[in-house]
Amino acid sequence: MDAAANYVPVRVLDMIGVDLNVYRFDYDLTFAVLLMNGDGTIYHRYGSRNSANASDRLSMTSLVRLLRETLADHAAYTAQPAPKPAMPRRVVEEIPPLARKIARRTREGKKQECIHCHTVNDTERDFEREQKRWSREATIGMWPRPEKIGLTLDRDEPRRVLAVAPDSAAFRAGIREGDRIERAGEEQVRSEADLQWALEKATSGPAEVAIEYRRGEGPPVRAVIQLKEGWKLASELEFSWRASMWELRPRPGFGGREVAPEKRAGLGLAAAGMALEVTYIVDWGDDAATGENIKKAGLRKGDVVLSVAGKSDFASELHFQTWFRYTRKPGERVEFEVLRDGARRKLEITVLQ
Amino acid sequence: MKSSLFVICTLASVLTDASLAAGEDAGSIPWRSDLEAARKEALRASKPLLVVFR
Repeated sequence: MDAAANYVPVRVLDMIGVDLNVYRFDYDLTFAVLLMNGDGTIYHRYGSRNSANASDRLSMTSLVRLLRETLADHAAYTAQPAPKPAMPRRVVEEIPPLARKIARRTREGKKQECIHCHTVNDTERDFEREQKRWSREATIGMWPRPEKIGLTLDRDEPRRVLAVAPDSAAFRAGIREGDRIERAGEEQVRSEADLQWALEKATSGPAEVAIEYRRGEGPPVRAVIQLKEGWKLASELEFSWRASMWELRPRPGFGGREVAPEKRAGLGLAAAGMALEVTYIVDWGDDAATGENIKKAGLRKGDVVLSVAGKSDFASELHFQTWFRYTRKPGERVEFEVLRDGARRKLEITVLQ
Repeated sequence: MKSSLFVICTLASVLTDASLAAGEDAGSIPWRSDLEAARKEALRASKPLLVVFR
């Protein structure tokens, strides 16, 4: 297969000028692919991740398979093109919060920086907040993973179901291990991202998603996945990798890096459990008050935070940051245990908005 | 076969954080950087568009 000759390949590193009504994908990803017709019809999406790391759900096998299969989809579409009506062009740099920022930088004579993909989500959220229509639930429910309906898909052959969670929505719809997902909603499913896009378009619930699957060599089976209120919402760990996480409130006012495993014993720490070395206390922007708050309570750079509100089983710093934003409430008292100069001490803050 | 391997290797390089430059150096995939021009080219050539966002 000479895929290079069969596609027009383009690599986009800057979101300036990208029509958001055409090129829709999970903008928090650091790697995403669209396979599409030049008329704006998207055949398939590729690119997905979980909280563990950015490449767990990617593989060359699945990407190459998708490149091959999409050539047939393109041939079929070209024989009977059906472009959707064009929507007005919408670009991130014209959405008011970013447009103002760019104008300000221009007035100050500063060069415009590259606009990363995740900036689209940041800008949309800022604009929705300005218009008082931002929804925390919509943010933490974006691009649901197949696991939200009970499916674990094969990374290398994403249509194949590796496991179905007992009593999940997918299980109740009749899907079982080994089945192959063919369609979801209006989407032909050839990748995990295709299924995520179908789920993204469903409401947070109660919702129904039509699905078509095959078992062995049998005919396609049509079923409806019934989803309950709130089905989309990602857990704090599931959401923790997203750049969008940083914008949720309330915030602890500091951050840092996890103490390296080889250094833990030297500090008298067990191999597992929270050990977050404070490398910064926020002293900038709208959030400076949160940094001032924790500083007044006694936190210093270099302290190692061992627990927060008695909890220490965080998988990562991002997990801690997300947990704080998900579970702490403004006005609440929160105790931190920290290690400084070999001694453990406790400090307490009142959480700010 | 050679071009197939090039495709796979170059896309593999795009998949990894450390190898964007290596992807460009490999030279087997003529990556465009102008999305709108690439879209028009795809229409003219009746080829599908492969858009990688990094």
